[in-house]
Amino acid sequence: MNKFRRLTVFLAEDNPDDIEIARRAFKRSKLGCDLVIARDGEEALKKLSEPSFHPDFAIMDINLPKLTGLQVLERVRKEKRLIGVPFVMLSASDREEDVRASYELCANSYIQKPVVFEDFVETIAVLEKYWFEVARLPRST
Amino acid sequence: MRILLVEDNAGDARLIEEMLRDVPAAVQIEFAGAASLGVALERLEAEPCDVVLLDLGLPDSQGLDTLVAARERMPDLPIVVMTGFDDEERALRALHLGAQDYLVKGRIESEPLARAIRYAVERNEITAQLNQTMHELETRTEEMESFTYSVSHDLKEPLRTLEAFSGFLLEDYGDVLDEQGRDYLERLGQASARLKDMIEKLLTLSRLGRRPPEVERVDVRQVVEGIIAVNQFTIDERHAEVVIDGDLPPVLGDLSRLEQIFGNLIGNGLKFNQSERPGVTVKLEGTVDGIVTFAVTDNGIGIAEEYHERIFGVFQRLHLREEYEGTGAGLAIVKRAANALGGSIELRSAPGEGSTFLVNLPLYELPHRLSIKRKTGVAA
Repeated sequence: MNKFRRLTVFLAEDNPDDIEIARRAFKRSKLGCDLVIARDGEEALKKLSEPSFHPDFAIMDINLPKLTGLQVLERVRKEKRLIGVPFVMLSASDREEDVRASYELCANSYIQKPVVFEDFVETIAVLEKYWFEVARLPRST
Repeated sequence: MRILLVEDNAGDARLIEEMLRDVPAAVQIEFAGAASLGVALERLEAEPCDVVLLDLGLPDSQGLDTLVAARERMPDLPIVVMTGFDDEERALRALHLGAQDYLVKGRIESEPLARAIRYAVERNEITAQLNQTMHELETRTEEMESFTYSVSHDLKEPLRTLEAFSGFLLEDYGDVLDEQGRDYLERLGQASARLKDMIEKLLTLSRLGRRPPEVERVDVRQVVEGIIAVNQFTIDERHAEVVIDGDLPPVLGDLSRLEQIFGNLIGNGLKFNQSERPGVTVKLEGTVDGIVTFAVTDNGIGIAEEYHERIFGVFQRLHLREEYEGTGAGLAIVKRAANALGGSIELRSAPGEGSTFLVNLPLYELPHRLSIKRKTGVAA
């Protein structure tokens, strides 16, 4: 992977505060990231269906308006084009059902939204380290 | 009143019927007879009864198994056992298995028999009401617990914004604020940190206040040693000492609740302590009727009698935040966790004399003794 290329991170999140929190957390990360944001499930699905759109990484809130994050994930996982894009599900809850459903629909990770900003920065750093430095996923483009 | 008499010995059956017919009863008594448990169940299906007089030695079932089978098939009916064996221990077992009474054939006169039956019916009704109330109470408690849980979770969402944005403000605009402005912002940040702690404690409280799904043998010595190990740094830093004095017997409980109980008590003993060498001792106080009592004693500041109840409330503090930090939920968690395990907490303390918290918990006993103990609940 080219270390100097800017990464595209897709974020599906309806809460404007959480978007800002994520934006700042990514700004703090070592890798340069462009955030592409969708505010509800339908918008997320529409963006992910664009043939030219291929994010390096996707983070989706489970409780999205219109389509839920899980519904979006279920449909996205049927798209061959997006195989290999790590999807991290994000939720305020630690409900057992949500965690199980996420992994059953082939999410790569499930994360409970940290309350403290610094913990969120930490979480993002761990995710990046794993998916971009350890896993080194083969890319289609 | 309709009595179902389950008795395979025709002579005994006739005797009982005659005894009851002699009694000038306020209510009319009707009899239905059955010579086996199978027939009894068939008859019950055909026409309902108010009470069952049950012989334990039947062609299709023997001994207390007869009672167990009968209770299973007719859980709502009062059952009075009539048997030839005069055996006190067996009688008690029968009561714990849900019999309303245990009468010995040939030892009971007609009037006491009639009264025993009438009372059995009444008692059964009262127990049913009690169980209904208990069930409602349990449901409501569960609802309350899950309400606390979900509300605590929902509170995290605005808290996240508060925490993050006060930080952003300080980071981006700290330079343009004067000292007071920055102080205000820092207070906001500290308040959100406290709010986070409180929400976490509420979640712990609601989780541990429930009865655990499973209880098992827990080694209290291991729990306490674990707590000491985790807090070793603080203990050394404060030149403190946490000691296990003698043997600590195992209890019937679950690990997370026991860690909270002893963790909070030991932590408090060290925290609310101004001795040069703060010390906490954990030892066995005694064992009575399957309940083991542990004493957690500290040489701390002590607690005045008037506060002995209040300190177990949620978010109750007796000191300024500047003096002792913390949310004031620790002892509430201790108490709820102990109660959830069927135990309790007592306190002996006075200002300047340290505190001793007595932790009463169910002793872990060998399984065969346990099985008898377990049955001493409210007979349904």
